[in-house]
Amino acid sequence: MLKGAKKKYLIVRTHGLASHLIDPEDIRSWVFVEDRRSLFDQLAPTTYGNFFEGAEDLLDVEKIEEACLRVNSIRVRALLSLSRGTLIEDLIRAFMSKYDIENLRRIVFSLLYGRRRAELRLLPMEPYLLDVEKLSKADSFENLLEMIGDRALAKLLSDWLSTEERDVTVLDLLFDRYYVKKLFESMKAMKISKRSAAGFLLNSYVENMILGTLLKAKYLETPNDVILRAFSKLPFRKLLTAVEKSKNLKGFLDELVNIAPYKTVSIEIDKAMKEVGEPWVIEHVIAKRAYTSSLRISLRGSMSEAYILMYLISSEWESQSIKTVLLGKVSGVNPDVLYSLLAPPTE
Amino acid sequence: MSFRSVGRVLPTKGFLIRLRERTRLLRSGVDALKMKRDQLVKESQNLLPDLKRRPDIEKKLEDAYRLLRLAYAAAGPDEMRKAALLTMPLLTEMKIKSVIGVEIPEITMREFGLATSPSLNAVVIATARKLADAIKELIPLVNSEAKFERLAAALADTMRKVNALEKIIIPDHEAAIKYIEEALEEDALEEFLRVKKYRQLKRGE
Repeated sequence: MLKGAKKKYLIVRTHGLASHLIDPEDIRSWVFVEDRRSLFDQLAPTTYGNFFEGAEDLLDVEKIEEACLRVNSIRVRALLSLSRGTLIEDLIRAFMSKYDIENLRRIVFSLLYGRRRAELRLLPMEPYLLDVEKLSKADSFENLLEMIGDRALAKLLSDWLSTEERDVTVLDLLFDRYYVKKLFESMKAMKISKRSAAGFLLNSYVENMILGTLLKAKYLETPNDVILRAFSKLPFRKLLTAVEKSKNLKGFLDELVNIAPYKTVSIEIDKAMKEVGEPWVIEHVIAKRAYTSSLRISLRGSMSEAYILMYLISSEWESQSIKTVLLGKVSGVNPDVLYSLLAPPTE
Repeated sequence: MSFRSVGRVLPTKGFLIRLRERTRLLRSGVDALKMKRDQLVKESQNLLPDLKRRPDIEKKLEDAYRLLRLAYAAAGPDEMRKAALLTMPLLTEMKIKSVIGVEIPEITMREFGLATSPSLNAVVIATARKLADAIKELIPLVNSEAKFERLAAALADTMRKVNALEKIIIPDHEAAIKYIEEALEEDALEEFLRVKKYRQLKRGE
């Protein structure tokens, strides 16, 4: 239980904010709304409605993407202003720093392949730990390294740059490890026990994130030693053992299907591979799993930091679901396919 | 007298010799063209297995575009822009090769970098890979198709030439030769009769 009144106030306010989240079942039902006008009428009263002026805006993919990210950003800003000066602010910033890292990743990619700055598009999220706007102005890696304030991050990048291959997969794994480290450090600073609801929730979130990365690394046939070198210190033994035992994605899925918590994920991805020939559903399966796990765990600590984290994860899943529905409609994807992407996993 | 493909024919021995020379040359030309024709047919036939791969490659492209549609829905255009940051532009080089005297363009891929990273959405990775594979297979097919088109045009041209030589030019030359031979024979006979008559008159017969 939280001791400070400010923290309690923040959690109560988060309960209030969470009541504005759209029911996932409603979002799933929008998949079958054929008329754009009706879909707009459904969206208009929600927070997303502010970003669309009319039904024709639902054809504008740029607006759709921006709306989904901005809604998330606005919600986080509200939480940050409520938690200012507390350790929860640090936790939220650490959690949201994945967007900073994502933007940094894009900056590195653009420098790596000599893309012009005009081609670099950053996610329209405000900076949480890194001043990515400033970093995006770097015109060389040396320049970028000088601009990065975080020593650990600068060292990570500098070490990677000194390798001959400059393999982007390795960089991705290192960025993920850095993010996980940041989250765990923040958890430690808040003295969140691993056995508490917030501890469980963070652990589950990180586990899902790493699972997603491992699935994609296996899909890209990244050598096991590269994966294990990056993630060996993470506390997910079963996952790492499955990585060790498998040679490719198929083998990895075969290993996962025998590990109870990952069985559903393995089955869903395997099904997609059989239907489409590619594991195209990884992101949705993982995000869905993270969302359902956070809901389940937060029930154990509805008056703890777990609820705030659950709100952040739910908000992300909501944005992703709405983006899937709207972009799916623009590109004419079969509604049943869209529904199955958003439907809760069947145990 | 004139023949369409021979022009004005002079019934002289010199012209006959020149005409016979020319006909011999035309016949050997026909033989050479026939050899070229056979070689072109052989080269074109060798391309058939490559050309038959088009439906497979079209199917692959179809699959890639279907996946692209899913990628658009599941990941969005922003994720695709991110994937584009990891690609190097497709650089090709075109050379002209000569096959039996036919100029054939040949495209080779000089640079085609497609790096994928686990931070990309799986569906974007899958789409990028499928499209890259299809493009890699498409370029040899395009080369084969261009080669086939040029060879087919050259083959049609060669056949036209062989036909023209066999059906028009050589028969015309042969007719001209025959005409000259007959004319020369007539002239020779006339000359013989004239000489005979002159001898008779001289002997007072």
